[in-house]
Amino acid sequence: MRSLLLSLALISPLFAAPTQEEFYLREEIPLPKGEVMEIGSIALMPDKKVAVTTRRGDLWICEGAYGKDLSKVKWSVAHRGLHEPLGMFYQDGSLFLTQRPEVSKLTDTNNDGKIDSFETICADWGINGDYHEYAFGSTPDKDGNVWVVLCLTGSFNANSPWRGWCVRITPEGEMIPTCSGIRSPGGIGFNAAGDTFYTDNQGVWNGSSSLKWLKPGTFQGNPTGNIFYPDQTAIEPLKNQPKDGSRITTERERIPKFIPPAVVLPHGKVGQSPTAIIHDQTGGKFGPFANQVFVGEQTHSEVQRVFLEKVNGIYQGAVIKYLSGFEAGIIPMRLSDDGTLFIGGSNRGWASRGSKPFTFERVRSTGKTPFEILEMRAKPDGFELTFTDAVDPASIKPDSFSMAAWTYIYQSKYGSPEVDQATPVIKSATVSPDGKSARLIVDSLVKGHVHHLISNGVRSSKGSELWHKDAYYTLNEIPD
Amino acid sequence: MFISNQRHLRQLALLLATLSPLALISSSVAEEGKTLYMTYCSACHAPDGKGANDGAFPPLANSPWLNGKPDRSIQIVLHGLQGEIAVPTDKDPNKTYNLVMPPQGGSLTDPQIVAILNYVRNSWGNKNKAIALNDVAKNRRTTGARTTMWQADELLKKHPIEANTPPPIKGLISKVYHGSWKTRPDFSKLKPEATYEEHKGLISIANAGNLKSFGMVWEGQLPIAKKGNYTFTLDSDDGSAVYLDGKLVAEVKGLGGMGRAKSGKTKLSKGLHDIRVEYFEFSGQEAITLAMQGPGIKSHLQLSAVKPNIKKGPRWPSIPIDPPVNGTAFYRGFIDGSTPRSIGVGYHGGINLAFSADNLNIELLWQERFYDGGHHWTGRGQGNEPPAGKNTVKLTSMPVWGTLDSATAAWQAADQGETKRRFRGYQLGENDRPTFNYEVGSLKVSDVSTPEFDTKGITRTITIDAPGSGAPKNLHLMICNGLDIKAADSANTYLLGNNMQVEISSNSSVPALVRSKELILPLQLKAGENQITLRYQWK
Repeated sequence: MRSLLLSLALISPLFAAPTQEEFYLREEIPLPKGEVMEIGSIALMPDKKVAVTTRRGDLWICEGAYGKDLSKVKWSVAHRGLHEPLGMFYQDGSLFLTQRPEVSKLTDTNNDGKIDSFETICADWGINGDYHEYAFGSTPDKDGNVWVVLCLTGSFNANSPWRGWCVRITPEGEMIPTCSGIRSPGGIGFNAAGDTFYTDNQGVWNGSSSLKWLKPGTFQGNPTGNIFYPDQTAIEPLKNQPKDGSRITTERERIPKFIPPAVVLPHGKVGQSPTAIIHDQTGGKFGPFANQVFVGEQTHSEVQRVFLEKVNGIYQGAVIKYLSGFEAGIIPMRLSDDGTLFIGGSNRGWASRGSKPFTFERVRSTGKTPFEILEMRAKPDGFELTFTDAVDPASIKPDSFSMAAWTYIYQSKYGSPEVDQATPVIKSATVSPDGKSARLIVDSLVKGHVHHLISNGVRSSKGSELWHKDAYYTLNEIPD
Repeated sequence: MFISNQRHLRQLALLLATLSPLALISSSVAEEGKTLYMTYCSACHAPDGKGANDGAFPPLANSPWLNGKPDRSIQIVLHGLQGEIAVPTDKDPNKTYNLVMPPQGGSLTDPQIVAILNYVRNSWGNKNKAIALNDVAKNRRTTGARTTMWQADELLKKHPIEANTPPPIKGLISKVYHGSWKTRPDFSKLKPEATYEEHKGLISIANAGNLKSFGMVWEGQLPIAKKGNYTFTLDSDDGSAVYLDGKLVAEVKGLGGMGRAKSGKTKLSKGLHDIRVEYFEFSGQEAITLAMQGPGIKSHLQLSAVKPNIKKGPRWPSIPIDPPVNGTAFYRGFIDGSTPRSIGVGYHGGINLAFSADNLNIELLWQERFYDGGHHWTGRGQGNEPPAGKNTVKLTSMPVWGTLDSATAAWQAADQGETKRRFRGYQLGENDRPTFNYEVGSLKVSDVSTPEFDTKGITRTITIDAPGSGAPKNLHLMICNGLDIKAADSANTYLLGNNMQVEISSNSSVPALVRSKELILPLQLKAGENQITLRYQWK
């Protein structure tokens, strides 16, 4: 009987694998002809205008990016000659930019479409001419502060002041050193609760790339920038320096300020260079993932989806692949309240699967809900999954799932292999009365490990398999 | 006995099979190598090994870096590589890249590295012996302490790309002559002191040992695979000549260093041709390079032990940045000669400046072309790029607001408390010309320049708003440092080096102080508005 069902499933055309096109419409937005538009930041403006900056330092305004007929978009250049902006937002008639050397306020005071006022808000961090000393800036937090993450010199050293730190820039231009421990960020943003996260790339002291929570005062893991603790007074220096070749879980015991990556984005498996961070504030206009976090991925030209929860006071959660097929490496993203996701990108200097040198695209929901794992929550004895649609109860059984777990060496070497492999066993799987969630009892959860759940056998009540079957949960804490 | 021998033979055959070059990477291992390659490497090197994005990243297919002895590849994988590297491609045999390959030794295990390298070293036309776990382990042992990425030159010194095989010149012998000549002697009338076989088939002066002045002659046979016109390029310190079948093809005459390369063409049929190279060294440094180009030769064939300095194309394309008509161009990047926070301003009409937001001064003035973005806008864009134009004058190289305790005291830059420097940005006025704003302690300063196209210079007006409480005492403005300063004939005018002068007028200072390579203006600021006008002119 079972083999009969299996062979039926194999030959049946009814249950073709879900594809992105069913759920999301991805469109390229035409760019001005002859221009090199390596987009590094995007800002949403009033009247459905969209501002973008390029890595070359141009600022362009796009009209029609929300329109039905994208062939009608109009572009105008507002300025040329900025310093590699990687963060921009609009506020009260001005564009605020995080440029490589400073946070600045740009204004078109005479409304002729050109910026004529460039006000330096804060330039208190160091740059020394090294191309890798990037600065990524956020939109304002609830207090109006811009959060800026400062890449290490050459991504290895702290040769200029505040390299390897996150700083906050107040509206008055004061710089507040906030967290040490940064290596090479790719983006910064907030979750729905207003907490700040950044992406850090695989490299020294980063076994894998990850999404990290910038809780003020915490240490993010790379000790290179710790030399600047004495230059500020608000945060006490670490009493213990991290041990090379250890594990994050072990080092957290020795260094209470050490906050582990909220969600590891397993290197190679999920991506190679995470970038922008946004969350879905649209309340359902962009699919069923309200309030979840989306992370850009430069190398794989993708967008990943992150579910976050707080356990024992710190964030952790799962990453699941989401959107793919973008034309270049994704750098910035912005999601408008109407459910239009804008992404921009480039692959100059860092290759990407999308093979165009640069791109500007938008994505909208088709209105059809994909069958997906919506949430994956840690439980003392396993996980709880919720789905975007009711499941076929018969498909919720241990056989439908498998799990692997591993962690990374926490070391001064570049990256880490997957180590300390474990194979947690799914003992039971039960479906909830409403059919929309499943409870997995798992033997031998491992604190600190990435738990890779593969849900090959799960079917919706309509017979659909999951659009994405792999979820990677970073179990920093096992709930009591 | 017989049976046992059979068994031994079979074991030997098995052993040979595992050692034999290509075989013998089992298909499942190759499959694993491919999977790993696709996961970790293909984003940059491309699934087809040709380099991602149409060769914008280095290819592995037919790469001389990858083929041959495995240590070079293993080292690049273990420790990464950054900076300029020459990798010939199908399209461009002189192609160079300037990117970063991050080290993978910390994240890939030895079996993974073996699988990946065996895959890439035997794919897309590459053919190499299989490497073993022990090859990677051995490399880890020898360079385990290394924490920096390789630079191409450094790696090549340890693991050179294997020379052309077979030897490019067959049966090559060299003869060494003792003597001292200022022009190429008639070697047929001289007697060699020694004769050597040059097994590598390359022109090399190694066998002259420590001789200070000497002559050498090499003779051998050059195999030609395809009939056609061949170009021979010869360079030497001091003189040299190359003959094919007894006919002089190229000659570097007389005394002089490298960089005097001469080329000559000759028609050659398929088969072996006599080649003769003559060389003499008078004094100082010595070197000879020879290369040939012709049908079927990719780029050039090196015929000398020392690599010929074949002219490479530009390292990056030119992307000129020009001001629009009656407008102004801006460039914020790493302008060579100024600081990382410098702002380049190009006025339409060919006058340009770089204002340092770190040091609060115009540090560079130059004429004609404004800037070229090609360096910073290609690849990762590391490094500084100088202005594109000419007659560049570097006015200062330090913070220019500061104090002097006496006329002979050392310069103290303003940087804290009452004199903290703060760059505040710029506003664009007519023709987009910028006015820079900054603060020095409680002073608010605006700083605007107007180009003077007729007289070739700029007039710069610095307006200082001092609070009622008065300005910091003892404040000075460094007008120029690092150039020879001389008072000019007209009042308050100074010559700055060879081709620039500045005329100072101000209602808020006393006459300028000229010190060794420093021109300093002592300020006497009153509450309210103060003004300093600096008129810079090229001479």
